Amino acid sequence: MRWYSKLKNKLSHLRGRSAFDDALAEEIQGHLEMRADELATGGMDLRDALAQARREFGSPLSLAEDSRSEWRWTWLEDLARDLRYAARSLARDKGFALTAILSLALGIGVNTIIFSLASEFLFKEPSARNPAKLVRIQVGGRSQLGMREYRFLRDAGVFAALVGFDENAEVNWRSGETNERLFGIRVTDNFFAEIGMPIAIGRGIQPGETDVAVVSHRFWERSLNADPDAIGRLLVLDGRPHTLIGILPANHRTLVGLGFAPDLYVAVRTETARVGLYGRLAEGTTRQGIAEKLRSACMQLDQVYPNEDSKWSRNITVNDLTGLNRLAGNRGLTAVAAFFAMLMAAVSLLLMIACVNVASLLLARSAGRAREFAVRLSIGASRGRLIRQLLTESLLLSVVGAAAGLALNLVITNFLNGTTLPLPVPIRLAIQPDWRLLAYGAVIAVVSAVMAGLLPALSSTRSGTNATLKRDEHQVGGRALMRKSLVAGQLAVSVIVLVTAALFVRNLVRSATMNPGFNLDHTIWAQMRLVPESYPTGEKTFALVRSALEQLRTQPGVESATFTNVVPLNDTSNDLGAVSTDVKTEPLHLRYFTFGVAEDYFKTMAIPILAGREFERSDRAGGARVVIVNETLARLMFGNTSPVGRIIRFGTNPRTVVGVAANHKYSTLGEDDAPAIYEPYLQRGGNRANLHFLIRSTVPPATLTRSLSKALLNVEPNAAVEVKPMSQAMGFALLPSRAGAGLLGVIGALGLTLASIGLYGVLSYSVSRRIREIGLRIALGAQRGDVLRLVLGEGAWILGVGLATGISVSIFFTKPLTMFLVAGLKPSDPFTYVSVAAVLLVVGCIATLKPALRALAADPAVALRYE
Amino acid sequence: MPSATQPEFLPGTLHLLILRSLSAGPLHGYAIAKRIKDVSQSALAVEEGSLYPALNRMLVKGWLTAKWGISENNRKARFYQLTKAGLQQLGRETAEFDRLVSAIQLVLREA
Repeated sequence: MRWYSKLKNKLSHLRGRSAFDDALAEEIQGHLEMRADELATGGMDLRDALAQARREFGSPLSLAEDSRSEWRWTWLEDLARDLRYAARSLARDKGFALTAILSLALGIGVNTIIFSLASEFLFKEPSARNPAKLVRIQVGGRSQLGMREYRFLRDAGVFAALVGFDENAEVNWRSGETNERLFGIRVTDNFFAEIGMPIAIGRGIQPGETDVAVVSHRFWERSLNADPDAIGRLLVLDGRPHTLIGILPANHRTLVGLGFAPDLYVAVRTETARVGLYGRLAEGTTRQGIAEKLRSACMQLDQVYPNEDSKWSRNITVNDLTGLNRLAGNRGLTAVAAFFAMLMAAVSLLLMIACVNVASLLLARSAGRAREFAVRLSIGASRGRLIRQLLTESLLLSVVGAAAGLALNLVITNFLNGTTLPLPVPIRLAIQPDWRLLAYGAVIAVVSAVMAGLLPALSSTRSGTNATLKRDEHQVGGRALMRKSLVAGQLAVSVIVLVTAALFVRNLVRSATMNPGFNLDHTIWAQMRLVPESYPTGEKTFALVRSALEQLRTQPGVESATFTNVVPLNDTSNDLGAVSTDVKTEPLHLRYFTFGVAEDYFKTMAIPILAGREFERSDRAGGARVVIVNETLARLMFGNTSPVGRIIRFGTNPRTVVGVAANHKYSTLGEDDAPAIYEPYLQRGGNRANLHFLIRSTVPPATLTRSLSKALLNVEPNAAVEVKPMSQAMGFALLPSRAGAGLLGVIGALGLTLASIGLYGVLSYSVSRRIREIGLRIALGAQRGDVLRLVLGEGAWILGVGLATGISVSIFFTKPLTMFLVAGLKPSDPFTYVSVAAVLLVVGCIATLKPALRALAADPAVALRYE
Repeated sequence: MPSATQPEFLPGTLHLLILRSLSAGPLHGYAIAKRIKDVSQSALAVEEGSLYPALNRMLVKGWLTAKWGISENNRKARFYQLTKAGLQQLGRETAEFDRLVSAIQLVLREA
């Protein structure tokens, strides 16, 4: 720690700098007197002795200066002086300083916002003890296992601890007269102890406990009114009283990540539960090493509890919960990461535009200061010193810009934290500014300072002293070329950002107006969650569905009502398997969507039946097995023959095709047409706690929600019922393109603004530098038209080079964006390019023409004297 | 004033000489210069223009501390004293110097 004690010594010196000078003078005086004493003892006269001592001593001034400099903070004091100088010179040029700071604030602000979002979604560690040692496990390619398989692996001793975790556990919470569906995580009873999840109040679930719950801070605040005596309260969950034993801290993060924010944790209580696996690595073991041990444990598991589909010991994956490996192990996360990578690229380009803006402003400004630099160089300042001073100026700009940008970040992230996303699962952001953000902001500020300041600093200090002192700045040819290239480069980058943004905005317009293939405006979606223990068999559930449908159909304003197992664009169920027909006996391996629906499904959803009939009440459990297929499947499996009345085989039993339905969108609006098979829900196996009723109304859907929800509660008082217009419920399907279009639209608009400001400023500046030349030309007899052509020609050169470069680069840059766009919209779409080029051309022309016309209108005599 | 006949210091030895002079006890600047001159039998003369900046450098580095006191002939003077760090530095620099000198001697003898 030697630098530390040095720092301390220097710091203590700061307190008494004038005292230091006095002391040194006194010390020197003492030295001289002692030497004089010595000389005097040799017999010299005292006055002569003192004079002799002084002569011997040399210059006390330079000695004092050298001694003092030992204590000085040379570079720091220089920096402080440079900063003061920079602040003064920026304050003199307020318009310039404000434009530059605003450009950088926007560029840096947007950059840090995307950084905050990305680090929140992708890199936040779960709330756990030593999360780096936690891994997520899949065996046999399954994300969830039964309880006996879980127990076998837990006791196999591969991991220091193995816990089970089901993040899709919903429960009905009895709240007054109604039931509320809560999002829960069901965990094995060792979960809290082994993961070491922090609890704010109370305690976690302990081994052997079942009828207990740990709730989120938000649930405690909003639904329990932040009751200080909440611990010990009884919550009726799925009809069974649970004791509230703990409240999680506000900044709790689940093992799932991605901002997933459930309402509560409950314990696994039945043997039929299925859980995902999380393990804790023992000290000294690594993720790679554990996979082998896990494989041999799974081989034993294959002997004891064989898996019907494939072997447990196949498709084993072990992924970290922190860092990059977490992203690699999760396909959903990889897509989110790709999205953020694209956003990061877009905002980096935006920052680049901002920096080029500032660079060209600085360059223009330094041209005006050429004489100042020449004078300073000629009186002995080194070029390095001048460059350092100019860089200090751009550093000051970027630091102020970064501070403003971080303030913008805080405002926006604070707003985002308070926003609920329209998603079927609870996602909440809890972005807190942290050291990462601060470090990122600092790095970005320095990078921008160098990006914006280095080129102008180098170029403005390059030319020789004599030349610059004599010459006029507009005669320096090299710098004009650099300025032109800068503008062209800025144009190119703007094209890329604008093309990307324009693509996403068009994507939003297209997907918002896109027909999903079924009716949204007159359809209502009623979701009903049953308590699973009360409906253990399919028969009981089917009876409930029957009477619920009857109830719904008698409600006023209801035209038709139906049932489905999944609601398109929100949830899907699909199968991968061999499909064959009596026309095409050779089986085809297909991935197709499957639906289990009630009669009137196609009528309610307004999906046209192209051939045959819709499902009817007679398509019941014991009856002939029938299906309806969609157009795509009909074409694939039956070719040109009509499928109606034909036999189709998938799975085990043959079914008769009774109808062909028009295609619609199943999982995303952007998907290509996919095959789908509909079956009567009564003929499908499977029992679900979540029931979906669809209702077609003759009145505005929003007016019916209350009466429909009451009708459903009458049928089953313990159910949690949510009724909403279908148009509202489509938020999830639109979210990716909405988020993309919203974010990139804003980025694009900012980019356009910044690019226009920069373009205008630089073009009009470079023309105005030539006013004297224009005056000269006109005085010498040039035609106004010729001069205008000359100026516009230069502008056209810049615009042409910039646009051409930008367009050719963005053709490559936007190629990977296809995955985010709706079908039919291609990144290479010429309309996007033409519109972007047109906007920039207009800005460029105005910026060139305006000062040129001003120059032409001026009296040549005045223009000649123009400085 | 340096005279042409006085030999120049080997670079970096000024610190070593000052530290060594102080190892017997605190001295003021004049006494340090005199001690070096006397002990070297006037072969080595420290310029004041280097002595005082060097003393200050060593204060910054924490090898020395300074205290005002009264000199043997009743003049007010600043006495410099070795710190623990200074003592360690003296050990390091002495060893380094010995190594250097014996290496040079080796070259002079053998080469």
